[in-house]
Amino acid sequence: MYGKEGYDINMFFYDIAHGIVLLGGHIPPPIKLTIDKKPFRNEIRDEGMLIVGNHVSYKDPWFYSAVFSNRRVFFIASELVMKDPVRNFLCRHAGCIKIDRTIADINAIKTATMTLKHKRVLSIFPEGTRRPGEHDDLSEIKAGVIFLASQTGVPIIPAYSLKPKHWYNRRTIVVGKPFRISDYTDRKFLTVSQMDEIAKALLEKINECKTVFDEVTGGK
Amino acid sequence: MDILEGIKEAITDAFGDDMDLEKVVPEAKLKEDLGFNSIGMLAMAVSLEEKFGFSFTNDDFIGITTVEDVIQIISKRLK
Repeated sequence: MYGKEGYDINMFFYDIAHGIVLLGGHIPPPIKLTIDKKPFRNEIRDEGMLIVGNHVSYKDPWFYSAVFSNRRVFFIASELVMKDPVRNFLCRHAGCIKIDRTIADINAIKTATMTLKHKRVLSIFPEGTRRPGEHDDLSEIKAGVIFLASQTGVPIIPAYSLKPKHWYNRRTIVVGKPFRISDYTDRKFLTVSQMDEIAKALLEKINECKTVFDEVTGGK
Repeated sequence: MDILEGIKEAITDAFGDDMDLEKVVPEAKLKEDLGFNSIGMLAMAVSLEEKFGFSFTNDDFIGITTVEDVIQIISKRLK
């Protein structure tokens, strides 16, 4: 299932879901904003990147795939999401990398690292679970995303979104300015406390995206 | 390289000055005595892989509780 370049099985379900998002009342794709108002796609064209945002719905990966419609977006999901055979089949064919959150899942981390090193886009929801009805600022995220970024050197793109009121409403996704671990430290190996500190900085950047989201949408 | 010394170096890579290396003895429990969490395990594993030149898998981590367990895994993989 995992090839030399990370995840490279047939992603037909990804293509179907991606097409549905683009066509299902979301043409053109959802609003794209950057905090500094620069055209986002021109900043990072040809390298791996980590999209890190809040998690409100199983559909989140498809909406991110619409924002980054010129790149395939892989994503990390808990193995609990993939426990039944149907979901397992669909997730496997949608670019999902399965992670066991009950252990230090080094296999999943290596697959994700390979995926990023081969210039692919990976989305992670570092709260570790969905918070569909909550509109508070994010208060805590897991530092695994910082570990991945430090291992690969790829930029992290903070993002924020909420489910729209009705299914047919456009969904707004705010995408923040990319940053790198090298903006914070030159160390080859980050210590756990350094990862925690950078995770806090990431948390602030996601909450900045939320502030912009609230300004744009009125918090809806 | 002495395996315990390699583990101490890897733990320093993972925890910096936050870890008292005198506590890193074979019988020390990783979680209870040394305060390891999953990220700490990953950070140590990556450093150990580079020092000893092999790759860990999830199977290696099953049942690991002490520094001695880590020493045993590395010894096995180096044979």
